[in-house]
Amino acid sequence: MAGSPVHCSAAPRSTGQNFAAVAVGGFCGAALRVGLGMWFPDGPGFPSTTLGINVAGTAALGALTSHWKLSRRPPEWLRAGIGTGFLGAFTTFSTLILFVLGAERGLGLLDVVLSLGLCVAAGWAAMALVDHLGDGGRPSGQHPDRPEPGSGP
Amino acid sequence: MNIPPLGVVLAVAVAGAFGAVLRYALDITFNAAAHRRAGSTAPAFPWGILAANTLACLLVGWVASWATARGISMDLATLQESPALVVAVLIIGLGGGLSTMSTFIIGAVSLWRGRHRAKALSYIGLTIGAGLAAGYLGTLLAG
Repeated sequence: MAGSPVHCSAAPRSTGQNFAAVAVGGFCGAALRVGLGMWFPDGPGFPSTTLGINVAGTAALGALTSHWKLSRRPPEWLRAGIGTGFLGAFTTFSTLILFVLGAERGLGLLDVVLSLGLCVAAGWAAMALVDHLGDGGRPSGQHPDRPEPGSGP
Repeated sequence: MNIPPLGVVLAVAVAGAFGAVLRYALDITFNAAAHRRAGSTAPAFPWGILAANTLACLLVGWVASWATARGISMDLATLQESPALVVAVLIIGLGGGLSTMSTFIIGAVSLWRGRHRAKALSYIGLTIGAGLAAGYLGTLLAG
């Protein structure tokens, strides 16, 4: 169903095809992340490029996750390659933690709060939007998984 | 030695691919174990992604601290020596590819929207807490 966790689906199998797709996707995602980091270096004060990358990647994965649940599923290797490989490696969690450990406490806290808040908001909005469109625009009151406003973690 | 930007991108991307494959292996290993235990009715707690993010934080904390102590900067604009390239490959490539924000957040949001709210909140809390602890442990290991 639309709002059920992605982990409900059958456990992914470890096939060579899936691993190859994750490797190719991971290569492209990491290349794009480091390329953007060279073009728009994170400022010395605040890692806004990393934040933007994480928000964009999370929104994209949210939209795809909902889309793949509603529509005819693409093959598993393609989902693994794009979702786990490309978008997984494009976004990063360790850079956030590295900044927090090195930064002044207030600034580190701000980065954690902004990263979590913006990524959850972007991911949630993308999932809800695709669910809604996939419903054929049914009134949101009838949507079984309509999120309550302001109830986000 | 001056390293051309394309070389940096390629080296980091190869490490990113390794990180992503390791994360995928952790995810399916933990996921398969959870499915064996609980059947497939309840959503499994994403232990594999939590492990990947925590491991990545340990790695980057350790490498960054090691590099800082030796005066090695991994500023991408001024990457001119092979030690700096190795540090960038390990932190930005391997650590960045092993860790993930998108899969973490979408996993938490999916749990919450599927009414598994305690799981969603504990997933977020555990990921942040374990990440900070592992990163700090990494700096201790380097010193």
